[in-house]
Amino acid sequence: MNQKMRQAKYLLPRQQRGMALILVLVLLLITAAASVFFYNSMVGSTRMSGANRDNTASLLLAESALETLRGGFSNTLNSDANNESIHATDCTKSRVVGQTTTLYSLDNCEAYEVVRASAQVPVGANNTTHVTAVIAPLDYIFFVNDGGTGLTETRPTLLQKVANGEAKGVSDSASRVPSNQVVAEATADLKINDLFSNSHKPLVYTLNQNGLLVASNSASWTGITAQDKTAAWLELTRNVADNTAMDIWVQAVGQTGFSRSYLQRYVGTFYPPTQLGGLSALVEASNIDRGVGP
Amino acid sequence: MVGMVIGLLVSAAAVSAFLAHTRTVYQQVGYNQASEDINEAYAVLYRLLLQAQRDSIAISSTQSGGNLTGTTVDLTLPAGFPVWPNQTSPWTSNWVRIAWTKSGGNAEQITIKKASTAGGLAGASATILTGGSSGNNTRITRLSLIKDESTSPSTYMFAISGKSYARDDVDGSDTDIGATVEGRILPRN
Repeated sequence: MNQKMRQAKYLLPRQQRGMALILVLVLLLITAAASVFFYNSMVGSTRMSGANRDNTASLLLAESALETLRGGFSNTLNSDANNESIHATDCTKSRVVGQTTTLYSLDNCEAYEVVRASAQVPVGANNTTHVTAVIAPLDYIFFVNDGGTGLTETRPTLLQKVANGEAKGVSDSASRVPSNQVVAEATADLKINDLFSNSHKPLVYTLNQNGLLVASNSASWTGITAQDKTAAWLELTRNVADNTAMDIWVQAVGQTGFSRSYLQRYVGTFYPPTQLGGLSALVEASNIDRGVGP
Repeated sequence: MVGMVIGLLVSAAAVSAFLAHTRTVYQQVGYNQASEDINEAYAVLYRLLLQAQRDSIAISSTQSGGNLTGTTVDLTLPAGFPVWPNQTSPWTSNWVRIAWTKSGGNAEQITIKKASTAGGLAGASATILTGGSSGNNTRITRLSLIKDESTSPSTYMFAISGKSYARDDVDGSDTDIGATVEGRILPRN
């Protein structure tokens, strides 16, 4: 074996340094590629984490507003539908904002109004006049009109219309704002802001530093610039089983940053006076003798 | 040498990113847990308070520097009815105590006691409903029940707040994000 052939079996020192550099560069490329991939993944995950947190916070906000309003129902079987003095005290002072305004039993208020409206309009007619008389005292209760015949149980709820409108990002339009608490069925999309007018609006809250609700007297939803805000209202629909009875729902929207949550909960069913014994909110207590009517 | 230095720097950045990512996930999981715990605890206690006898509700609380540090709520359920936690026939353990404290024994927990008399509550064994100041427990940072006498009949504003076990209050300011659920309750009895 000559000298040249012996040298070919080994790399020269200069060649060794070149190979090491290539190796380091390849490793560097792999590490850099992995890092970029991981960094992108991390950015996405962090964004998702923030969105998730805001979404959860908005859900809790909606829950709080909803429960604050639902708590106004006395949850008994004994709503005093015939007592006008209770009506006067409880129902006319209807706007529950903060702890400075006299509250009332929403059960008593609604029970009384159902009876009163039914006295004006024959039971079973279930028309708009009847319904508007029921909802009139509360300026945060709404219903969707199905085109003149009154309530319906087959149309999308008001909350659905609001969620649709907010999700689509429809722009504000004065034509969509209900002139009163009756929302036209043809209105497919609503903004939360549409529910605010001079005569009626949902209950609105923001948060204090302890995370507790603070009532707001803002005249519009968009007028509240706080990061966290929530609104709650009631909706009246027709009972599926009895077209002369009305179901009451409490609905709420919570917003944290750009996240919004929508919640709805059933409150109870209110019957006209021929079935006065059937006046009942949803009663959740388990110690009721249901064999005896009120 | 230059390649190795660059390689080391990139590796350090990758490890740093990995740690930050892990922390984000850790905090997110903790926050989600806190939110669910608070929401569930509220729902359970809401149903209990709804069935309380209105005139029996006695609230005592402690404060420090304007901040709530403890709340105890004693109430009775209608005797003779199987309402949780009074679940044993003939359902006479109808005195119930809901307690929360920020420090000391059962710190940052919500506990429930039941007894057949008011005097029996102090010696009754406490069941932990939720929370805890150690481990992977949600820290309950507030439980308040405030009687609103401006309403007729009186209603109660009930609130529960909690924070994740994944503390990010590294400077001790305790500013980590918490979750709160509250509502108005009109006890029916």
